[in-house]
Amino acid sequence: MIHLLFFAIFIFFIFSTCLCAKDEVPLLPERPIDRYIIYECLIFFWIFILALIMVIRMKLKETERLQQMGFDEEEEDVPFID
Amino acid sequence: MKLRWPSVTRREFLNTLFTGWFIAFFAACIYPLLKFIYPNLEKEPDFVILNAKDFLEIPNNSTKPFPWGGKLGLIFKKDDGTIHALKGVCTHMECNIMYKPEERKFYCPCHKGYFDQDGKNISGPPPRPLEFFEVRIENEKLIVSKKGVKVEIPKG
Amino acid sequence: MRFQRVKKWVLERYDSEALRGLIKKKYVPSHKYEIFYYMGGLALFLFFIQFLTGFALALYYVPHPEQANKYVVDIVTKLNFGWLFRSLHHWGAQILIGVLFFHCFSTLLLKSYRKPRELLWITGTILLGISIFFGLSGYLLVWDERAFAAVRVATGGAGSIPIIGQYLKAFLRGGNDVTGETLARFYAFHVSILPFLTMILISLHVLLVQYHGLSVPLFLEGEKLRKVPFFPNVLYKDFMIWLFVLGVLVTISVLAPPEIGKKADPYAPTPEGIKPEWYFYFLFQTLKFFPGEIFGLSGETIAVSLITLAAIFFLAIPFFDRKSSRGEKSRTFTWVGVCYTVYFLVMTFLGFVT
Repeated sequence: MIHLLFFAIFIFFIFSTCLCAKDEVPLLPERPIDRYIIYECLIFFWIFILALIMVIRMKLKETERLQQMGFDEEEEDVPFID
Repeated sequence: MKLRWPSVTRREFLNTLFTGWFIAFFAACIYPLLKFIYPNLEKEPDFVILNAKDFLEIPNNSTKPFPWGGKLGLIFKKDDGTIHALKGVCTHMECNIMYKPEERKFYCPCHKGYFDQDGKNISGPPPRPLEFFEVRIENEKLIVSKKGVKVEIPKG
Repeated sequence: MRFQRVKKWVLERYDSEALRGLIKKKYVPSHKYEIFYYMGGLALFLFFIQFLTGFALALYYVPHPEQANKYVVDIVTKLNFGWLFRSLHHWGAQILIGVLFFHCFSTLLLKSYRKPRELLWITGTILLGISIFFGLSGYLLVWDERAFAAVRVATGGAGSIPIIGQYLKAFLRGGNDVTGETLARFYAFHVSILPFLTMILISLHVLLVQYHGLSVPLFLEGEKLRKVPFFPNVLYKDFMIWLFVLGVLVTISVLAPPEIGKKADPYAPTPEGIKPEWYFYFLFQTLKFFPGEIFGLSGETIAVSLITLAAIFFLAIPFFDRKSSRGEKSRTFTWVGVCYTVYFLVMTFLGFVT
């Protein structure tokens, strides 16, 4: 499934790069394979960001839960997130 | 009359002296810096000498650029074949203008200002007409000079 | 363990209890409008990105009128990831200035500038001005036709300020006209003078925020608000916003890399349809409204004088708004704030559509 998705994106960008008129100065690497890698990396970048945001959210929820239970005092080491 | 107490205490005197002296010293130090960072201004040239051959053969109703100091100058040939020269800089915001042959107008794309063939500002924001120069041909040289400036060409 | 020894080394020399106390004491009020509290942190993060990408680009760029444009093209086409960093720097600047305007106008409308936070307002407004100048000077460094024309117009506009205008114009341009000297100057502004001022002002601004704490809107002042510890709750939320904005920034940078025009040529006609960067639209549109001449005076001088006065008034708003400082409702200044905001938004919109 995920392979299919990437393949679709690949095809889409190949066509879109071929259809677009060429810039005077190529502002992105021009080879289709480079473009493909760039766009794929972008997708992975977002996946990582969203996952990280989710983890932080979970940490935040956990902290709030502890604070509500009144465990603030035990969190001596928390301020520096390590 | 001799004052029993001085009107200015020693401390006040010394403080004033210190502050004043300090400000004067600081100003003296900062002066060369200010002088340095303010640029030397080059004046616009009074005249430029061009090769007549390059400019006389342009078609009627067209312009050709030439450097007027660091700015754009335009040699302009009217429909009747007369040669004129003008500063190709808009009087509004100093953008370079261009000539539109089909409309017979000068046009500034920055804020859509128009000038007619004699440089009069006819529409848009420009506040003043364009600056025209005097043109003279001498020994295959085209001499473009500011109006009212006497040009003496050094020999050789 | 080595880490333990390092910790001990530090603790023997520095009083960590004081720092820990500070961190523990830092609370942020929680209410309906708390989203505005995150704009400052976001701006800080974007400043950080600008510094980082700027450092990288400065390693390769050369401010020479003959070569500057070629170097920019080389950065984009030949260097590894050059296209990405230039694009990030460009779009980072756009987003940063957008966030700064948002931060500024929200402060204005919620009247957070009122006593005792006048200095915060002043440092912040100056930072906004510096950022706009950052944008202008960085824009010229590409040294293409559009930037050349835009800087000619902008510095020419500065020349219309009464009395000091001509000196200011010559100082900015490094001569009578925009030339290679201007490029050198703007490079110096962009990479050394402005960053230095920015660092000082940001430090001052952030220190002042720590000193005063966060402002609560006037109409909520009496109410009892929940307080949330900054470490770690608010910081976590900050992180989430930063990550999201980073994602957006990278996406825009990849999908819409900024164009590079033809090398600037002082003798070429100005290209058709030039527009300044969007954060100049409100000035650009204002200038457009004024005719060339009003009662024998240059319309430009009048327009620029009015803009200068409006900017000075903007800077001094906390000192005029006595009512808010006393903690009373101040209708007049709500309207003043709305006027500034609406004017900015409408003019920027007009700039986009015309």
